Amino acid sequence: MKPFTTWLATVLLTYATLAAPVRDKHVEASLLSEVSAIQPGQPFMVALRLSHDEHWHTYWINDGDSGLPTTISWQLPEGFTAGPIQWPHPQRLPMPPLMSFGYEGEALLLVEITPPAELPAGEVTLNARVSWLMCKEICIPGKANLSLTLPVGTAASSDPAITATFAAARRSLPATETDWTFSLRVEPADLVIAARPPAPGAALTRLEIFPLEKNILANSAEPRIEATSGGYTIRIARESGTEAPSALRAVLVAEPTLARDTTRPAIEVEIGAASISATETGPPGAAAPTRSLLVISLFAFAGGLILNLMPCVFPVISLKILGFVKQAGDHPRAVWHHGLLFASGVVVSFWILAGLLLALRAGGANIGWGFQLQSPGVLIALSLLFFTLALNLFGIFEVGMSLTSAGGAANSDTGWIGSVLSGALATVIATPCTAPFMGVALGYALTQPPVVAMTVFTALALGMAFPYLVLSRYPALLKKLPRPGPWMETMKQAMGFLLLATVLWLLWVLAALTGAITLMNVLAGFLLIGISAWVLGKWDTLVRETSVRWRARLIGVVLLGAAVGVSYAQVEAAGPSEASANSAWLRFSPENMEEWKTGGKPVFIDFTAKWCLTCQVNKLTVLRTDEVMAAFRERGVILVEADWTDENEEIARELARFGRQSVPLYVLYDGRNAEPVMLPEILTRKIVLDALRNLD
Amino acid sequence: MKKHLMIALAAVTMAAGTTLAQKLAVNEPAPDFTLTDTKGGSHSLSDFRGKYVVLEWINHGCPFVVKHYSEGHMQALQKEYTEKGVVWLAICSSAEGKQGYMSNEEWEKTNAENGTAVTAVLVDAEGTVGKLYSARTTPHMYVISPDGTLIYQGAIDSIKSTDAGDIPKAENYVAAALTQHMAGEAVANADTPPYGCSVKYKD
Repeated sequence: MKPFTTWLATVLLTYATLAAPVRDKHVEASLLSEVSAIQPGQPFMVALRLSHDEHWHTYWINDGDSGLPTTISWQLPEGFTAGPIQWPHPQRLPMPPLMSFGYEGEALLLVEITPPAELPAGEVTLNARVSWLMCKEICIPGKANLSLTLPVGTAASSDPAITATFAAARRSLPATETDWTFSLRVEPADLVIAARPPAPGAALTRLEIFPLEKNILANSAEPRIEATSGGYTIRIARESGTEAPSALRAVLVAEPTLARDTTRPAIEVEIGAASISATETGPPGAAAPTRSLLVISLFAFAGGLILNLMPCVFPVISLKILGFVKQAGDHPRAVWHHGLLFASGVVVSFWILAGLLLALRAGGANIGWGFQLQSPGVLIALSLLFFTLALNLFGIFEVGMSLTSAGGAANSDTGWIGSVLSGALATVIATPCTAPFMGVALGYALTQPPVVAMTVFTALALGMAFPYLVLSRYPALLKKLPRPGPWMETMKQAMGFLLLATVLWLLWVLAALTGAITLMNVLAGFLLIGISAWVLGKWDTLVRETSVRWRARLIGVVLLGAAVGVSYAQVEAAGPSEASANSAWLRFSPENMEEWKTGGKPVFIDFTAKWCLTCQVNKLTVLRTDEVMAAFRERGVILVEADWTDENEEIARELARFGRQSVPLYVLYDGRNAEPVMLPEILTRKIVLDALRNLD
Repeated sequence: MKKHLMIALAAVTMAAGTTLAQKLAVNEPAPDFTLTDTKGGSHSLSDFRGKYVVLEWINHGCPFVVKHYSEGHMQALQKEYTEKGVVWLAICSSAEGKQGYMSNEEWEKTNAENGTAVTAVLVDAEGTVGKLYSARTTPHMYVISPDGTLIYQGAIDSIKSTDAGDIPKAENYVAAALTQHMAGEAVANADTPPYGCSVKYKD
């Protein structure tokens, strides 16, 4: 019987792009195709049409308090693939006191089908097993086996009715492009969305919010909309008994629409809690204007420039300047090319970093900037490399065909690749020192679509490379650099100490992350590298016979391999960082946040990490000075240290609340539940003391 | 002053009648209640101090409940745990005249037919206990520890469907919560979104 009806339906409706509807109780289901013929390799759209009897409904992807989303299980010919259901925006289905989300009347669920690139002529049948839950007062499961047969060939002129149907279905899909900006604040009972229109005065008369995930919003809650000077404040009750969400993913249906395409009533948004981005406003309390991509890119560019001034870039700048001094004797064009290559190295490595970061973010990893230096493996590699470079600078061995890769090549006169690599190296070392602009740019970039994030990172990279570009484009400026001479050797050796200082810092971070055994292993690695360098420097020289040189190289390489092996012998997982040595500082815990905000006493939170040099400088020169500590004591300030050395998630979430992906961050609460004050990333005693005075 | 208080109280009472209470928080004390069972006996949650208590929101007209009863899965679970001393209370919050509401005679007949192993079926036709617990679906499950703490609330298992064939593949959250808590372990999934038909509350 069934094959017969299917056959009949196929005959009757051949190429009419509509298969026979199947009714199961109160819902009639059918499959429609937008195209009248399948073209090999050309994806096309099909729709599952659900026609509901009056007052009956089926459910959206989030069904709300009760229900079950409709599912489609495809049986497709070989080589065909089906995409996910593209859900039109739902409607609210109240069943007081409960609330569900779904469809009444007629609903079209779109699915994209991709045929294989090679397809013989003839016909293709798509089969779908559809199941749904239909409810009025009561609920009944429904199902239907649907099929759709289409010819293979070039598309004939399509049916205008079908075209119109699909156009309407597409308009019902939530748009992703909007000119409105949103920010989210999490309160104990409510989520508070600040919505800013693209132009002042834009109206918002009706709004429905459909959360894409459960346990975020109270499903039956109505949003309360309030006009503000800059736009609207929308309050909606949270699902009680749930943890504070870090973001709200939802479909917003509004009148007039919030979508850029005004024919579409709904948009889909993901609003991160209190982070800074174009879709969001500034940190709590800050009257942040909407930042255009251009402005943010300028900030990023400036941030990149400032990166050059950060303490941890110094060794590399020094290395590079040495290179420039040598190149000044070269042809100007060659210098310019080196500059361009250096810049491209910076840009490419920023892209790689951004790509990695975006990939990690996509993977749900809650990791912030500086993450490379939170990995013991990377720390060990960098410290070994820098130690080797330092030995090189001291003149213990010379680099010819060098094993010291990046840094070594960066010093050679004609190393085109060296220029690219030194650009990359500069980037790697710069990242943990987050300049003030960087925090904003990163917070922005990480909440944005990849293309925008990439633009920001590119601007950051260009800013960082800018001084090098200028110096290499105008070699006249290079002339102002000191002339080459014997002093260079002295300077080179002196630079070695800078590198050693960097090594010291890297080891300090490593020790914080791992332990004494790992540290000892790496130091043993240094010893072996020292011997290796000494052997190479003594016997792999021009004055030696070739056979001697080869033996020296062999021994050198073996020792180097042993050094690496020993260093990595025991890379322990990071233990919890040690408690703050200074008992005046409490350890951060999110559970206490509420108490700290409202406890009546001022609270100062120091978001810090061992690998963050800026943090350490602030700590030593400002926060832990007698003067500042006395001022803290005098006002009874509760001091809290949030140590992010081990990149723990709780602190990452707290940083995200302030729109940051990085440390340092200094926050001062007055204890009376006012918006906290954020202090700049580079502190002075005056800044802190003034902030304390302003508490009164 | 007194008058204002009265109005406020009246408003609160009225609001409580029409809306769900806030969703409960796990690891907090479970609110006490008293209901009459289908045999006419009265039960309070506090009567069962010292024992584990499972609350199961029920409606035999709901396909999600049918899923768990038609092949005896729910009955087997009830049997397994009541034999271990767990108190298992099925609560029906369907209002009189709505789907799932049954007279005591009908309940006794249904219980005999499906071989339920619950300690008692409690009738909550006014929906007060359902709303107190913010029960949204049938089934909607709650597990309360011997000291009266709510240790689990949410779905019966991990596969949201009306197909009984999915039950063996799913993780039963109620069994997991009881097993883990009895072994002195933390309950891994203590708060899950429930799935099922809406509870047919009184209008």
